Amino acid sequence: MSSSADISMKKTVEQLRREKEVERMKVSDVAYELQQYCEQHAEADFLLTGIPGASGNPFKEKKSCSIL
Amino acid sequence: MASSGKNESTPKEDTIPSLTKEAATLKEKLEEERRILHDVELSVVASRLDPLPPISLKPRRILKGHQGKVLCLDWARDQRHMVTSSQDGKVIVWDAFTNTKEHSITMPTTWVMACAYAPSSTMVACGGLDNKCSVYQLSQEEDLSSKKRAVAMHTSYVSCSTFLNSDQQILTGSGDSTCALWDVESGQLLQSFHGHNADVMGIDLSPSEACNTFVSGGCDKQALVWDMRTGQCVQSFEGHESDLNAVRFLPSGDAFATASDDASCRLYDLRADREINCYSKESIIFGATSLDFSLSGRMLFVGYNDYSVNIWDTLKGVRLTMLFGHENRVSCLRVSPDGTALCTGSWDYTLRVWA
Repeated sequence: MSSSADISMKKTVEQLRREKEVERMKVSDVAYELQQYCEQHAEADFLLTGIPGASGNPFKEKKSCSIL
Repeated sequence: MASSGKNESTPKEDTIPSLTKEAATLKEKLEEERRILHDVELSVVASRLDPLPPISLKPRRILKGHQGKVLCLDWARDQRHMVTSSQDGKVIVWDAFTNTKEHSITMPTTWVMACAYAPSSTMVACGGLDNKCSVYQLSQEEDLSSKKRAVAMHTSYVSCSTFLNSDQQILTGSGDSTCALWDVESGQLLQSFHGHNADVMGIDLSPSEACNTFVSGGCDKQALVWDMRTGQCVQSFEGHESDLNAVRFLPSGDAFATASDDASCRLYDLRADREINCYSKESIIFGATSLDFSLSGRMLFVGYNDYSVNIWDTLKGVRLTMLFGHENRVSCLRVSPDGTALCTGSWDYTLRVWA
């Protein structure tokens, strides 16, 4: 009895109902947490700090450089 | 609402007009809720942060060997090997440290748009215009095609693929507008994900512990977040004005960024359920094709059709610097697993490793 338009519309509404149930946070809280994460992991972020870890950065070792 | 067996009429709730009305009402309520929670801009909050020191990344390796446009790349977990695929049908496994080619696979198709390294590093997966994603066992043998197995079968091209946290399952995205989860051993379809209205161009697994969700981006301008167990779309995000080419989760797993043909990238937060930052400039008019975050998530690397790579401050939304070197479009870009290097692939047939 249901046409494909019916089914498609029903799916859309079901999807929206699901989305309505999602618990949302304020952007201010989310922004704070993102900042916290970045700060906590900044030291280990070699591309950011430019400081190599204990093992150094093998891509920077002169002996295995093969550019050109 | 129960209806008696003899009553053939459709319950009121299920008629098209009432469903349409309910959809409109729900959409309005969702928008209202998102508006209320949008109490501040991320970039404004982040403006209080100190600016980052100058970023200096130089090209350390140029990987030459493909004879066609490089379309995809994936690092191995050992952060020195990588697999790359190209328009000319070749898939190459490299040792990026020593700049040597360890394996070369000739696919029976051109435009190999997807390639992925298995977590164990003992095999690679690739696919493209053949509408499949096949796995190849890596071994010392000359001809790896004898160890090939087709895993995924779509009804249009395969645009992206990734292993889950083990060698046993692969997730694919396709031009047939679906994503699918496959068992590698049997080739069985475990779950399919329907929801996009056009080609799926990029997928990314959530880095969170549970890892039960992934995000997909498509030519319908939408990014959809999926529950892998149920196959359902749990959240949807709009905002872009053209095709999405790539999606990537922030290392924290709470947000993801998208790269689009509309020349912008956007950051969407799962918990705020909305777009929280946009990375664009009037001077950037070419499509963004690929993106990845640095280890802390503070930097966002983006490859463009204008041959450049832009590095953005994820929080402040400002561009930090640009990387030049490729002589054609940058098509793919990935940060190494330990965050010490960035690799970019291009239509100029080469890949570059920056550190």
